[in-house]
Amino acid sequence: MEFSSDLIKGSVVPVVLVLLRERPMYGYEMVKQVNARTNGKLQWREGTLYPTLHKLESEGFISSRWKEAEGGRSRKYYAITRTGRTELDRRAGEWQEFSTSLNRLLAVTKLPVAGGEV
Amino acid sequence: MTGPFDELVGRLTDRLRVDPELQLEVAKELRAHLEDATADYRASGLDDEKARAEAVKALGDETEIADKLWQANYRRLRLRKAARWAFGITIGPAAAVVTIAVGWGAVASLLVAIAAANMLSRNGSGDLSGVFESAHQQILDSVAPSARLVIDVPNESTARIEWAAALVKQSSGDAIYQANYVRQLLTQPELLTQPDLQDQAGKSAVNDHAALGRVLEACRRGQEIEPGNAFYPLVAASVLFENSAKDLSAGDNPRPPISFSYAEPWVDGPPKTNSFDLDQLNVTDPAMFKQGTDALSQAARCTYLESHTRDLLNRQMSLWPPPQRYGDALMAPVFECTTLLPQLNGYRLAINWSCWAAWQAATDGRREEAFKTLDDAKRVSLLASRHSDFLIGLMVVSGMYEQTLGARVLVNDALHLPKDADAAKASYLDYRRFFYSTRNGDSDDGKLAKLIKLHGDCLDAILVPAKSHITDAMLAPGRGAEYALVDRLELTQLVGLLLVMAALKAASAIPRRGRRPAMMFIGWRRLGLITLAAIAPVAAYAIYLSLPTLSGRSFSAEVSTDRLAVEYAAVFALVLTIIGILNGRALRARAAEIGFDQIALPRLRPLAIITGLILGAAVIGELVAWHWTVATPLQRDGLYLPTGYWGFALVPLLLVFGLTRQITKIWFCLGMCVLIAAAASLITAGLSEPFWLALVAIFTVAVISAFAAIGVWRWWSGALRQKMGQFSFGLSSAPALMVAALVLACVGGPLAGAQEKCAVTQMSQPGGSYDLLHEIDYSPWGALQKHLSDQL
Repeated sequence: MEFSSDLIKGSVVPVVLVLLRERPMYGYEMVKQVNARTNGKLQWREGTLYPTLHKLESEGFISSRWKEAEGGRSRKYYAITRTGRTELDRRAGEWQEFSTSLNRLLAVTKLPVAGGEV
Repeated sequence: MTGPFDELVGRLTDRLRVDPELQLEVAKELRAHLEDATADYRASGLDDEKARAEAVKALGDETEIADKLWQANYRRLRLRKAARWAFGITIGPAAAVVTIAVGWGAVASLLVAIAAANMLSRNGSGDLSGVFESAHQQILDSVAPSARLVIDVPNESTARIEWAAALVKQSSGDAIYQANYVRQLLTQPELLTQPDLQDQAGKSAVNDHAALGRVLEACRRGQEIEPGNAFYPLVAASVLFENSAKDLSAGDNPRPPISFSYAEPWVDGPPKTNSFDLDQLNVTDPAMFKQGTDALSQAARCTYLESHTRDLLNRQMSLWPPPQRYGDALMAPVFECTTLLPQLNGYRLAINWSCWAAWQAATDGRREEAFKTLDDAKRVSLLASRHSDFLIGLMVVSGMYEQTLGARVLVNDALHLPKDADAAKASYLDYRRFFYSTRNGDSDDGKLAKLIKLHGDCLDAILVPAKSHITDAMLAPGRGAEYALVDRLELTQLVGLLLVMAALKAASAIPRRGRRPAMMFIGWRRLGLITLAAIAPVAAYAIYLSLPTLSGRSFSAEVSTDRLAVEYAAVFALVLTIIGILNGRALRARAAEIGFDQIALPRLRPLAIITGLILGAAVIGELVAWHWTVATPLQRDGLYLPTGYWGFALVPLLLVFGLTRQITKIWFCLGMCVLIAAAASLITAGLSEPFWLALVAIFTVAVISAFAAIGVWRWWSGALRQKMGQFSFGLSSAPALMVAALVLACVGGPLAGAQEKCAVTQMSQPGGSYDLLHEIDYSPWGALQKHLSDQL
């Protein structure tokens, strides 16, 4: 099952922050990581990642630094900042609350799914 | 741009073109992404073309990405623009303002120092004009108007008399001002011979009855105020003698003095015979001359002799603002000289002529009159010694007393009293021995002798030229202030040079022929490193300066001019070179980051490094030559400093080296030329051969000046060529230059100012080397004064 574009769009920021919390990465590396970890279910339109990264950088959530990657090619690595970690925590809490509320709502509604009721 | 994705990336980033640096950076990032994606698709089995197509497809909608990139970076674009604008209008002007403040303070201090030295060099009768006058006026403006009249001592003799008269008029009956008025009247060349004034040397007083009447009237008024003060009749005696007789030792046919010879076995050095001389007079107005001897008798009958110089000086100094700068501190000795000196000449002349009058009376057989005149002169000298206010005054009074002792020998000889003459000669020699032992005694390392020398220098000029004792530690506070002042001036020059360089760099980035200026921000870390590295040579130089033996700062700045110029030029060159090299590296690194690594920036060639080393060797050679020269007494005393010629020639070369760092073979040859000149200088410094040195110096200066001009031209044209593609990167060096200038000005200026103030405070300490008055407390001084007082 592929996720809707709205869901994907809303998840870019927390996903980026989560990835960068592990270690600094460059843009294409993030795309590959997401694909690998979600078995390709979270298909980003790669070009939209960069505006997001630039916006996060201008807001101070991440910082960047040019560095040579493996193979000697120069890549722009992004790293999460302290403000970014706080923002990630805030968003994670928000998402937790949102998903709990949504799950509760979905349980009452009993939406029909293929093969029977939930 | 020649890559396969350049067109696409160009379209994606086109809206960011208002900030070329950001546009290039984003473009490089997108390009790298597409290349990575293509490589992965290729690895999965697609051919090149399909792999590229898949990479572009995966990137997403071109228009949407371009819009989002613009939106995401819009805030950053505005911030960067504002930051650049703020940087440009704050750092540069701030650095300029601080530089002007530092420079202005230093120049003002220098002007006052020159004014003070100028006044001192002419024993307080120097002529101030133009900027010096305005600098002096600045100090006066800081004083309350009521106090200004007291301390605003004019430099010219006539004006000073009017000033003294105004003080008397303002405070009628004030003994201090009345005595000052009389003293100032004595400075008139038509009234008294002024051996201390260069333009009056060899001239005798003319009979100016108006001037004579004025001083006699002032003396009469002074006696009304202080009837028991011998000062007024003594001054009257001096002017009466001077205007009624002619000194026969001067003029075209000088008559030899009356003399006797003696030996001083106690004096160090080879034995030699000295002679006591009494100049002969031709009395042109016997009646007036008689009035002079009568006035001297009247002085001898007084109970004390007080010229009130110390009182006036204390009154003036209490009104003078506390010194802040070197020049202010020098003004104190100026006051002391202008106040203390005028009457001494009159004292000396009165005693000289009365001694001659005694000898003349003895020659004519008027024994009683001869001894009475001598006794009067002796008593007046001793009275004067009791109230001597300062060291130089005591020296003069001691000489007057000694003159009366010597004259007694001649008077006894003239009266044919050989036994009395021998006894008088023994007394004379006793005093000579006592004076010598006091003056040069080992009890306190001959401090009194040093003080006498030092005060002599203060009278000649406080900026003492090369003399045997110029490294005397007693001058240290003044030296410190002097060099702090020079350092401030040089720091201003360095910062000014950096700012001019920054302005030139900025100017070279002005859009020309469609090229847009692009200011690459090399990053705060790199900027900080460049600034620190640029300041390092200045800090290292400051450490070097704290070692007086090495830096030669115990010698006066006047003697060190050539060495200082070379040192400062070397520091300038180092600062400029470091900024140039590090900024170039930072720019290259940043250019590579944003995919513009083909930018052409100057790189140091091995030949340049070798030439730099040669220049370094030349600088060291200059310093060695300077130390060698000042260590050679003959050259030092003659102010012959051969290192100066080629030392100055080295300055433009060093500066051009720092400015361009583009050293070619020609520069290499030039460096060799300087090295040869250094060797020649070292040799000639030892041989004292100015002719050959001058030839070498002229040749070196001519060649270096020509090449310096060529170098500057090449640098300027080279700076304009530093452009690539559609961008000009000239402005990129300006921030580093401006920040370095600001930091140097903000740190170095106050430090040098504080050093000057600290030294000035030390100079102003009571009893310090620059305090002419307070030497009265020094023990040998007191012993001499007591010895003279005991004779009364």
